Amino acid sequence: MRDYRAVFEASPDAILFLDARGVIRDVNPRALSMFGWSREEMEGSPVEMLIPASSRALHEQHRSSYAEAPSPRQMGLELDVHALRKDGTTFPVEVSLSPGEELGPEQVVCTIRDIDGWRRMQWLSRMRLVGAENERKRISRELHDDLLQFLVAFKVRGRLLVDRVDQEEREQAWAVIADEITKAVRGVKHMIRGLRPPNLEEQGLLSAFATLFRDTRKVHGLTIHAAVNVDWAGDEMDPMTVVALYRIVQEAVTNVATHAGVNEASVALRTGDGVLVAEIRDEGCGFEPPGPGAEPDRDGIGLSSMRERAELVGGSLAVRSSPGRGTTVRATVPMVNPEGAR
Amino acid sequence: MTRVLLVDDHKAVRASLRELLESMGTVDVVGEASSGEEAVGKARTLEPDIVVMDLAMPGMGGVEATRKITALGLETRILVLTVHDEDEFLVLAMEAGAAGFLNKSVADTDLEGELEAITRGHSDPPRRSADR
Repeated sequence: MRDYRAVFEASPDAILFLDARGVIRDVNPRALSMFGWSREEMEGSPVEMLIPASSRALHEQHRSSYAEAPSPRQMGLELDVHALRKDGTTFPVEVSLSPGEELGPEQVVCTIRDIDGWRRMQWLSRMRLVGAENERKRISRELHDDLLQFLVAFKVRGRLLVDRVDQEEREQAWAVIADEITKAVRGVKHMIRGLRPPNLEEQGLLSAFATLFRDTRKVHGLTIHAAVNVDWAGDEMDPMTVVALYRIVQEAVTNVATHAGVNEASVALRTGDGVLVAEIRDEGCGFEPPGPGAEPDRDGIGLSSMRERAELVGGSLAVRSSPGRGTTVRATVPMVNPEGAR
Repeated sequence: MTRVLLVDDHKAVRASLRELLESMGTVDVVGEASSGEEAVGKARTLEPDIVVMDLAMPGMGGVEATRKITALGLETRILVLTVHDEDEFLVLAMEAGAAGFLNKSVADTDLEGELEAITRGHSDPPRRSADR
């Protein structure tokens, strides 16, 4: 029995002995550190002290089903079960119940595992899949919106070229094709550059933006007026947040270049209240922000992927646009990774 | 002459299609639009015989624009010209009221015939050219 006691004392999971009425009779040291209560406070108290109001109904249901047929069982991994600490915070748990006849009639051994880390890993791996999927969509869209359209145009122009009899007309028609091929090549180069991950850690976010804006002018003829008003040392920020913000600005600027029909736009970066805000604004043709009922996969300009990037790092994205009145995209990201950011 | 409104968000495509249409000798390109919203506005004022309509455009896409132009109750017919050859787009375009559906990659060879078919009214149900 002493050996079993050692397992109980050393367990990385919280272990509680409960009586038939659900009153806590004994707890191991991990239970104290997990919930923040003292031994005196826990022993003799009903187990409900560890259950947040939102989970009480589920708890009642499980307890009565256990009472009807006491046998070992687990809950938590597929259910969203949370436990309550003394300080009022909650955390996801996996709970196992087993009959503890050795301890006395109708006693229950309750083992509680903190699965917050596990849940976060699960969430991150899901987001990684979603991210990869969105990236594919973005690439597919860029191929569709640019290269494919140029190829279609070349085919039409090639056909027209064949029909030209006059040598001078042929030369002129070819000059147009050559010019468009140059544009298409430039677009593909831009796409390749966009796929290559920016070297943000060495280069720094502001310098990476400077490069991006220079490329945008070269490739698309779009001049970006940048207004930077930031008070921060970039290395304090989570690298993932920096990458997310860079990608959002990159996407928004590319949208202006390809869709807005303007040759200048502005990007403002500012800090304050613990957040970094990037605002991309143009006076171009604008659009009706897509509502529910939008055509399949055609918000066309990657708004959802920008929003997901922002939310993934605990930030947010706001878009204001209407036909003929330009577009403003505002991304807000935390300067310091907030506790529990997802 | 068939009066055509040309709708596509890609400048190079619009320019090449305009030349193609004008080379036919039977078509007068009366206007161009680069978005669904613009297409609806120009269809209303220009009342073209045929709108050559792209599908994927930022903001209002071609399906929605087709629906809105059809709802104007004009004589205007709509020929959807797209790189999308998935059935779902064909169905969406048909339901929205399109009179024809042609893949952009065969525009150089098939666009003229398609326009003629629509003009003659031999386009109900919508014809669909094979992709090449």
